[in-house]
Amino acid sequence: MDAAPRRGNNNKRRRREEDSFEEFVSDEEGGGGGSGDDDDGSSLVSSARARVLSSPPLSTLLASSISPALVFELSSREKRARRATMTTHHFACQLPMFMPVGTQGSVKGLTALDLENARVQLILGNTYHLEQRPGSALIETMGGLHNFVSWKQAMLTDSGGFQMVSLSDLLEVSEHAVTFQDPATGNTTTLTPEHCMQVQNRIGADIMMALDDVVSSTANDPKRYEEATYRTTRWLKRCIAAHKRTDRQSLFGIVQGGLDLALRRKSCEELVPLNLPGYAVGGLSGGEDKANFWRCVDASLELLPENKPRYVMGVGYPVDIVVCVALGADMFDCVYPTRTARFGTAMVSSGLLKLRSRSFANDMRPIEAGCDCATCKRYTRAYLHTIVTREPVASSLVSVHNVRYMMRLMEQIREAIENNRFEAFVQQFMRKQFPRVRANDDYAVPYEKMEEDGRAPVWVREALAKAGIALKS
Amino acid sequence: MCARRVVSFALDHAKYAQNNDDGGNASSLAPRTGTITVLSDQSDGKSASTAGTQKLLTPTSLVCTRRASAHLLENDRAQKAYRTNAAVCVPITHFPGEKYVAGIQSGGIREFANLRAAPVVVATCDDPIRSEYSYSQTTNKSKGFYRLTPFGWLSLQPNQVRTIANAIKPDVLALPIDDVPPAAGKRRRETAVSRTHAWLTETLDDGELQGDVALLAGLTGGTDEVVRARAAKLTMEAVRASSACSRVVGVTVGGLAHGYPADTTKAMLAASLEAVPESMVRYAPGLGAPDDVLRAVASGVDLFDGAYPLTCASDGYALTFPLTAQAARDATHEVDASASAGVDVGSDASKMNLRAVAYRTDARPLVVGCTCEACSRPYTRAYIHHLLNVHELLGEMLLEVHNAHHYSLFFEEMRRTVDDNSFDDFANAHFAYRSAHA
Ligand SMILES: [Zn+2]
Ligand SMILES: [Zn+2]
Repeated sequence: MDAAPRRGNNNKRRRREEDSFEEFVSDEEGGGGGSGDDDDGSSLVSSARARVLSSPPLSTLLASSISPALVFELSSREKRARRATMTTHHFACQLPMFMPVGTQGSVKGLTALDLENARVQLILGNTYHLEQRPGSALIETMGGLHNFVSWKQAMLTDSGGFQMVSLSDLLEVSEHAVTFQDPATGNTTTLTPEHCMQVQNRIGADIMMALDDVVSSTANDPKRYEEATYRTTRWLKRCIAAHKRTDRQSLFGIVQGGLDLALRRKSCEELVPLNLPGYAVGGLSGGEDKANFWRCVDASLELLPENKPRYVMGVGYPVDIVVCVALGADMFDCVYPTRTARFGTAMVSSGLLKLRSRSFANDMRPIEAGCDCATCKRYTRAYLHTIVTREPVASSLVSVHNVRYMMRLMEQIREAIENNRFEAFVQQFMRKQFPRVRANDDYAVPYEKMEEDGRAPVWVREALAKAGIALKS
Repeated sequence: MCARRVVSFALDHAKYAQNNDDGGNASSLAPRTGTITVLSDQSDGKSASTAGTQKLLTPTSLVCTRRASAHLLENDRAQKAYRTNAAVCVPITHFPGEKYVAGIQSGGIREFANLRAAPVVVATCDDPIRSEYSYSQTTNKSKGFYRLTPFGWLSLQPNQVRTIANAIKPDVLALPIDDVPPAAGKRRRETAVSRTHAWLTETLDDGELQGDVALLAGLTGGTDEVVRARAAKLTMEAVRASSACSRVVGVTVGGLAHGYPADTTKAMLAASLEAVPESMVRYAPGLGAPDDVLRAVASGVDLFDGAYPLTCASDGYALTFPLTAQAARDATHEVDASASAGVDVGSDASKMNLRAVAYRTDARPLVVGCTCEACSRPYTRAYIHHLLNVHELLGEMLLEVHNAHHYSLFFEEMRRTVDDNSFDDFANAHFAYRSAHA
C-alpha cells in the first residue's frame, strides 16, 4: 500500500546506502504477499521502517539499513563508537548492548521479571543445548522460544557450531557438514547449514547466526584457518538459501579468519556483498592473546558496513566491551556475569568483589554504592558473604547485580556516545578499573593484571589509540 | 539502640460448641483463629520499616529459611508469595555459634537478611527441613543437644542458644526440645521431659536473654499420653512461677514429626494441649501435608513449620489441591473423567508431578487461574517440566513461588471458614475429595 510513495523516494534511499532487501520488502508488500499475521511485533519493524524512510538523514555518517525483519538506525557517533537502534520483530534494541546468555531457556537463577527489572533487552539462547533438550520441534509446537520461556523482548540464537566444537567429540568437518558425537549419549549427529537454519527457524529468535566452520582461536594452524574461512562463506550462502522465515527472523553472517588479519579482511570482503541484516565477529575470546584479539576485532570492524549491526561474539569482560565499542562494535554476549556470580564474585566499577573473602564479613555496604539493582537495595556485602557459594539463592542475588551492572555499563556507554563524551567516559572507566592507588576500603581485585607502573594493560592502550582515544598517564 | 518489638497473641474466634459433645475438656481441641501482634517503637529513629504494628493471622505457616534466606527465593519475593502472612523461621542451627553471628549488627537478622517485611521472625532450635535427622541426637553427657547444621553435626549448649538469639534478635524464640524417638522406652521419655524442662527454667531464670524476645516453651514426652500431659502441666507451672512469665506467649508441641497415624497425632496433641491456656500460641512442627494440617487445625494448632511446600518443590511437585469446599466437591466429581482418560502422571490428588513426561507440551499454568508470580506470567507446565529436566534452578524456584502461594491460600481459607463456622464443611469436603482419589 505504501509502496508507491516509497518508490518516489529513490534519491533519499540511495543516500542511505540501503540494500537490496528493501527492494525485496517493497515488492513483496506491493504484491500483497508476506506474512499474514501482522501483530504488534511486526508493526515494530514496519513503523521503524516508515520512520527511516520518511525522515531525512542527518548526515552521511548516520547510516541506516532496512531488511525484512530488522531496521538499523545509527543515531550518533563519536570517533568509531556508535549509538544506534536495532528494531527486530519483538523489540527495539538500543545499541551498544550486552546480551545475557540463557543457555537452556533460562538465564541461570533469574526469572523473566528479574531480567526485565534489570532492563535486559535481548536474551541469547544456545541452539545446541535447546535442540538436545527440549528439541526445536517441541519449541515450535509451543509457539517458539519466546512463548516457551515467556519472554516478550528480543532473542538471539547462536548456530550451535561453537558448542559442537567445545562440548562434543568432533568427528569430522567436511564440505557437506559437521559430524560430532554427544559424549553423554554416544549419538552421532550430522549438522548441515540447512539443518542449522531449520532448527533456528523453529526456535524463532529475532536474530539467528549462520553456521560457521569454527576453529579454536588457539589452534595455530594457518591452513586450517584458511580452509575454515572460505568454507564459512560457502556455508553462509547455503544458510541464506535455507532460511525460511525472513519476515520474522534476521540471519547474521560471521566473520572468521582465525588470528590472521589478512584472512579476516578476506572474510569480510566475501561476506559484505551477501548483504545480510547484520554481521558478527566470531572465532575470538577463546583464550587467545589480547594483542591478537583486539587487532582481529579492529580489522573486521573496519571492513564491515557502517549501516549494519556488528556483534562481537563471546565478549563479556567490561574492559573488553569498552575497547570493542571504541572500535565500533554494537553487540556482546557472555555467560561471565552469571557464571562468576555463582562463584560469589560481584562486578563493580573498580573490578571484582570476591565475596567469599573475609574482608566482607563486616562490610555493611551494598555491593556497589549507587547501584539501583534489587540486590543492592536490600542486601549488604556482609550478608552476601555469609551465603555465597553456600546457599543457591546467593547466586540469584549476585546474578541480579551482575546483570544489572552490565546493563548500567551499557547505558552509561550509550549516554556518553549520545552526548559526545565517550572519550572522557573511557578515560574515567579505565582509571577506575586500573587505579594507580586503591582506596583502603576498596576490596575489589582487577579483571586482569595491570602493568607494573599501574597503568592499563598495553593492549588496552594500543587498541584505544587505534580508536583515537588516548589514556592520560 | 534498635527498636523494641513486643509480641502478643490474641484469640479472634474459637469454636467451642461443636467439640463439647464428648464432655470433658475438649474445648482446647477446637479450631480457632487468632492474631499475633508485634508492636515496635522506633527508639533510634533509623529505619521506618521497623516502626509500627505488624500482624500475623493464625492459623498460618512459617517460611522455612536457609541462613535466613527463604530457600531459593529472595526474602521479599518469598513474602509476596506467602502474601505477607507467614512468620519467618530462622533455625539457630544455621548460625551455630558466636563466630557465625559476628557480622549481624544491632538491627538483628531482620535488617541483616532483609526480613523487614516479615510480620514475625521466629528463631527455632530445630531446622524443619532437617528435623528428621536430628530428633534423637541429644547427648547424654552434657546439657547440650546435637543438631545437624549446615556446618555438620554440632553440639549446642542452652546458653549458646541465648547468645545466638541475642544476636539474631528474633521476635519469638522457640526453646529447644529433647525429642523422643518412636522406639524409646519409658526412661528415655522421662529424661526428655526433665531435660526440656531444665532448658526452659534455665532460660527463664538466668536473665541472659536480652530485649523483649517472646518464648515458646517446649512440650515433649513421645507417644505416651500420660507423660505428655504431665510434661505440659509441669511446664505451665514453671512458667507461672517465673518472673519472666510474660515472655512465654506459647508452646511448641514437639515429637510430631515422625509420621504417626492421625489418631496417635491427635491424642498426642490433646495430651500436650490440655494444660495449656487458650491464650497461648500453639506451634506444631512436623505436620505439613494438607490432611495433617486440617486435622491439627481442628485440634487447635495455630502455627505450622512450612517445610511441606518446599520439600514438594524440591521433589518437582506443584501443589494443586482444591482450595475451597466447593472446589473440592466439584473436583471430587471430576475424578472419574480424568481417571478414565488413563493419564498416569505420577501426580496425586493434592500435587502435580512436573517431572512427568505428560506435561512436556502442556501449555497451561500450574494451576489455571492462580495469581502467583509463576502462574500469572504465565510460566507453563511444559516450561517448568523442561527446566526440571535440564536441572535449571529456575524450575524449582518457580515451584517454590507457586507452592508458597497455594499453601498460604489454603491457610487463608481455613481462617475464613473457622471465622464463619464452616471449617468442618471445608475439612469434610477436602477429605471426601482425597478419598475419591485414593
Ligand atoms: Zn547492584
Ligand atoms: Zn501459581
